[in-house]
Amino acid sequence: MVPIRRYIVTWCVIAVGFGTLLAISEYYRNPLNDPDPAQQRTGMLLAPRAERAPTITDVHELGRRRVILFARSLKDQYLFHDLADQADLAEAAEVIVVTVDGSQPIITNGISAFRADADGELARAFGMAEPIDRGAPIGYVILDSEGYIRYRTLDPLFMHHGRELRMMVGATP
Amino acid sequence: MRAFHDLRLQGMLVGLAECLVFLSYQHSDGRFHWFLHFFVGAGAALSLLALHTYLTGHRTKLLLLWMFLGHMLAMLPDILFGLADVPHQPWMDIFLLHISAHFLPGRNWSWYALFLLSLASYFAALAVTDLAPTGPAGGISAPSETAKGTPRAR
Repeated sequence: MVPIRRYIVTWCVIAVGFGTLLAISEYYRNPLNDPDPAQQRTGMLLAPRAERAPTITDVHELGRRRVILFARSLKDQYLFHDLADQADLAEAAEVIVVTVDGSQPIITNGISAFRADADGELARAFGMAEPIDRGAPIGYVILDSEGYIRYRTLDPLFMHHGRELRMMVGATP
Repeated sequence: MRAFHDLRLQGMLVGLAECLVFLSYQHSDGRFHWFLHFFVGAGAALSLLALHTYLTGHRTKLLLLWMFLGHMLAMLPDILFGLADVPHQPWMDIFLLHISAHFLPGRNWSWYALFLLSLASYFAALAVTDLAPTGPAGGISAPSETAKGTPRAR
């Protein structure tokens, strides 16, 4: 007897198994993540000279790469899990920190400027996506030395992804 | 290598390897990408194996290994990203559409459906082989006499 039934049963088990795992994975997504996971941490730079970045008063220094970090609050917190990441990043680019409440991290060395963004206007101007919980975005934008946006992502764990951030800054002209 | 033909051993080793890969993605908050590249890579392997089985009548004894290799090929740019600090670039689509695959409408659910379709095509190819007048050798889920290469009695 041809074991067709066996194939069908195996197929159903695999379908239910992976379907369940995928559903659980989707259900337990971080509410601070991008609703479209494909748009988060793509690891790929945007096209050159495609999108001019809005000006941030008194820190718009052309000729140097810039990283704008968006957070909700950094009160009594460190910007990066590993402080060496902060030093390395400040060496590679101008670092600007934007928080909803205008708070600053415990260690501010290497950070060029702070901005408060209570109404989210700055985040919108930089095209930051709204996270699943519809609150303020947590992530970052990288500008090239000509002032164009080359990378933009939500990343609620950017403080743990210093290496990745440095890599993307390093790839930005 | 012959020991690896045992599906249970293969399943344990490949399962363990996939768990480690999954944990590495989970560590960097990238579960979405593990599912995506698994469905793409394993699905591609299954599609090719289905075609191979249908055309030649021969079944692979390394099904899970081929699926794992498909997954590895699909996620190679992520390995380069994580271990060699190489950002993603459009040409990386040569690795089973590593870049474009992210943007398929329906995202992972669409790839899940395609994966199941390729699995169904593989099983269909096995069933066709089973029905053939002179059954082929090998097989991972066929009765033991088929696995030993003896044509099955009809």
